Amino acid sequence: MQRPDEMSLLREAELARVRLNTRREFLSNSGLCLGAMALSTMGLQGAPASLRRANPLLPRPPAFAAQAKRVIYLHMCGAPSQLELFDNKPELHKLHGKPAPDSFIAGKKFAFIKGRPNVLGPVYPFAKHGQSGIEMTDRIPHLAQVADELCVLRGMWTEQFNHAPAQLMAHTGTQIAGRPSLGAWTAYGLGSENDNLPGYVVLLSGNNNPDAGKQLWSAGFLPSVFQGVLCRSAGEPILFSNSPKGTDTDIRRAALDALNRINAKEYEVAGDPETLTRIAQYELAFRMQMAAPDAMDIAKETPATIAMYGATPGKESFANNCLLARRLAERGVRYIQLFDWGWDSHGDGAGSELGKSFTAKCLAMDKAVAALISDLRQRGLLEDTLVVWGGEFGRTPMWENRSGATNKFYGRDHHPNAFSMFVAGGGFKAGLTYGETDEFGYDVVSGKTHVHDLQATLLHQLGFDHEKLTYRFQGRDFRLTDVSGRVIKDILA
Amino acid sequence: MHEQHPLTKYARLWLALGPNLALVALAYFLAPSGEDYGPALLSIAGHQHFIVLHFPVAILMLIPFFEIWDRHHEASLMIRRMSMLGAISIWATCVFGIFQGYYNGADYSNLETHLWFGVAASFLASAAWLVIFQSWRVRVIAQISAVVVMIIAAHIGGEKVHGDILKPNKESTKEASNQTAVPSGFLIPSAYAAETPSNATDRAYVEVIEPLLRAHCAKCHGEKKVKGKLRVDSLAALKKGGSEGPAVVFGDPTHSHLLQRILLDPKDDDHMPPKAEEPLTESQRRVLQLWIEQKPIPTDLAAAALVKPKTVVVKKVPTFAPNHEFTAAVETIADKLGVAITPLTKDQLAGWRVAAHTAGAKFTNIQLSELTPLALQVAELDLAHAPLTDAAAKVLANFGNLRVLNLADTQLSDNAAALLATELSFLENLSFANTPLTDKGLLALAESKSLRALYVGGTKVTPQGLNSFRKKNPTCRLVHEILLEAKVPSPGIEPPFKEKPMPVAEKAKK
Repeated sequence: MQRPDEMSLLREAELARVRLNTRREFLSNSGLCLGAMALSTMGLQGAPASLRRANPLLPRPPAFAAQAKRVIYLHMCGAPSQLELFDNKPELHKLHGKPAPDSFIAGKKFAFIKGRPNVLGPVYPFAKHGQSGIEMTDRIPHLAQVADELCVLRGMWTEQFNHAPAQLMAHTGTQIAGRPSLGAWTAYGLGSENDNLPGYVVLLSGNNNPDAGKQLWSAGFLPSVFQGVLCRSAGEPILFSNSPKGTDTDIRRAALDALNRINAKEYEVAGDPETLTRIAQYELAFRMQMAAPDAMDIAKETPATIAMYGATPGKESFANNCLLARRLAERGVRYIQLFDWGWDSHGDGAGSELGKSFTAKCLAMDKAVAALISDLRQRGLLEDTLVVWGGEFGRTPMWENRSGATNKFYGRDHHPNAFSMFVAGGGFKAGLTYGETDEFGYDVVSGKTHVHDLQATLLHQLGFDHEKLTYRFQGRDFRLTDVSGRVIKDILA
Repeated sequence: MHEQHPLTKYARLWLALGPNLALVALAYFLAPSGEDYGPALLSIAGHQHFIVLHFPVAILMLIPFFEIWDRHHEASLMIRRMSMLGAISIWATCVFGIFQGYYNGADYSNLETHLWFGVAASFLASAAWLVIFQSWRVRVIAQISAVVVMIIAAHIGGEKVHGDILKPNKESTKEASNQTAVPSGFLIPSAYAAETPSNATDRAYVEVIEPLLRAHCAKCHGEKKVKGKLRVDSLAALKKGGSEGPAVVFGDPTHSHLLQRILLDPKDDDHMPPKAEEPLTESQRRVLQLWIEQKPIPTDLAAAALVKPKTVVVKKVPTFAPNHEFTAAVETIADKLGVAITPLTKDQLAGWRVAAHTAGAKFTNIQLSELTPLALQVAELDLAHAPLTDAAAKVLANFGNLRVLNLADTQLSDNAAALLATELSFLENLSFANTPLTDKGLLALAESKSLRALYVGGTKVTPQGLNSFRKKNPTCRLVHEILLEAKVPSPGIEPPFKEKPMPVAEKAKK
């Protein structure tokens, strides 16, 4: 049974391309998508069954048996200082306040440092934590309590020393915009386990967008259905997915059905996979209207849980996003990307130094991340969830001197040669410190891990060979790690 | 009458002879010595011997067949071409073979014979090409003699590669004797004492040394490979030794190369076994030393040095139908119930993961029971947040192959726990987080022999319950919530520096 208004829409589409198919021919040509026409009843999830089966986000098996099924990636935009968090360098104290030795500056390029800066000793005291004895400063006391769950990578390095390119490098494998992000590759490889939520969700905090912007969760040349969906922990959870006022669910459904038929017809004629993406996205948006508000409502958690994260329902904060990340992870969202802005501690102002403002960032992050890890752990989710924490690069052992003289506040410049990240769960070794920098924390001397290596290892845990998860575009097979990257087996349990 | 060949008679003679003479020179200078030499590229070239050798075997054997078939005074164009191809391919096979012997350390009995028969076959194949304008009888004689010599060469070579397949496997019967218990007291080596030591009279050799050497050394110094011209699989061979001299001189440890090499610093390049292989244990080295010194070997030391047969723990694993058809019926069930079904591996041998996220609050006991037709194919079941009650446990009992089960935030409790602990014999990973589970159910779960991880955060279990579970079932990791209590650090900077610090804290207050 078709409604007259739909028929006229359909006719309009047909006239537009001056194709006069009879209805009988039209039906007999119908393939996977067009089978939808024959179905007037709706399945449990709203869409006709055949449309569901054409959904590019249907879950798929990995290439080989996988340790991890989902990822929560916590990106600290601006690059937190490894020397004030995880990389203990007592030797730096001895050089504190003295001019940096030649080996620090000869032939090196920095974002802001000019001439010969002074060395800045570690600002906060370190201590060993947990049975594993992982070293951390007193700025992150909650994380110290879950130390035995962490695999701290102190030998990270990258090539880029500016925020946007380094962030692109960390998430898309190259400093140039336009490539698919790790989340998009993951969704492309594994699909989504929940039909009512996006497979790849992005959450922002810190009063600012990440420097590289939306390119960080782009699907690049992959079908756009695999791109990250930006959600909010306050207000309307997903922008532009609500129906206009006066449009109820039934009318919306009828309109979508008509639209789907036109799109299905278009797919029959042109065979463009983006058309399937479009159908899938309209359908997903429709289902999200019902499911998302519930999944996104952190007020439904117990007061104890909310307090554990330090979350405040109704506001936008990193802690809210962490709690939300757990809610989404347990509801089958494949990849949850958090960006928290404000870690760029140059020391050029009161809001960007390693003293009070850094401590405030640490406290807001520390409690929420520790709560997230502990919460996932007690539910049994940490075993197959990769929780990745880190910035886009590290910070110099030198005290920044952008004006020529040493900055007024404690601060460090961008430093791609060495930085620290950690991964919890997902089959990474728990309670391990991997990689070492030299006595001043300038260069990595052992356990050197390029961001590509980490990406390769993350993909490996998700069940993919990073060299084989490829997509053909413009005559070439592209992959996340481009032409490099190796799986670091030493950090895998 | 004969078609004129573009090359003169002499040119053809040199063309046939030249490469073969070069072959002889190569065989002479690159004689196999049992050591690995030289660049990886040539070593790879050496391996091509085993591929290329199939060409001359096939081509040269076909030629006389066609000749006899035709019996024509003039060789057909095809025969002439095959003759040339045959000569070239056997020559190439010889070159690769020489590389194999030299660069890859191949060494075995009859290797020299294999080499020279191969070279001879190459000569004969070239000769057969040279006489291609003679009468067919001459040609066939030349061709058949090339084939015969080639077959002899091929047989010797083939015996080396496939010999252990053709002959009955002696090793498998020997393997069983590994487990012979060493009698109490001392093993008195008798090889030195006896005038003519033999394998049979030396019990230390038979029961300890021989199995040890076979397990750790014979891979490269035995029947299949004879690196450094040394074999360790018999007493006589040990005494004869390899290219550096005898491996074992009884009573003279300093001249026993075997002992010297195993006692070197493990970092030394000459240390044996090589770095990539499993190292000898201290007791194994000690036993070898005592034996060479012909001193009594304490039986407990001998027992410690005994090569233990690798014990393979056969773990009970669930079996799943491979390549289970993902039929329309399965898809219909998945769509109707709002569950995602994902094979854990592409071959489906690890079963399926089933998650009820899409259904969410609509996934009740009734929906679960509708999943039963697929039950035995399910290895992982994620039912977190589904409004299931204790009655669901009866349905879950049908999922006999479950390995991972997530019941977090459901209403399942003690009765369900007791049933699952007894019914699901493969269950390794179970989450009961945020359920009404109490100590009673927890202790029932302690009975499970398969459980490796149990998650009970947010339940009503008590510290006493956790303790008695851990006592009862120490192999299972019991995970409860971590109490995050931390002293919040001071907001400002506590400078650890001796010199005057920056007034950062004051500045920031503004």
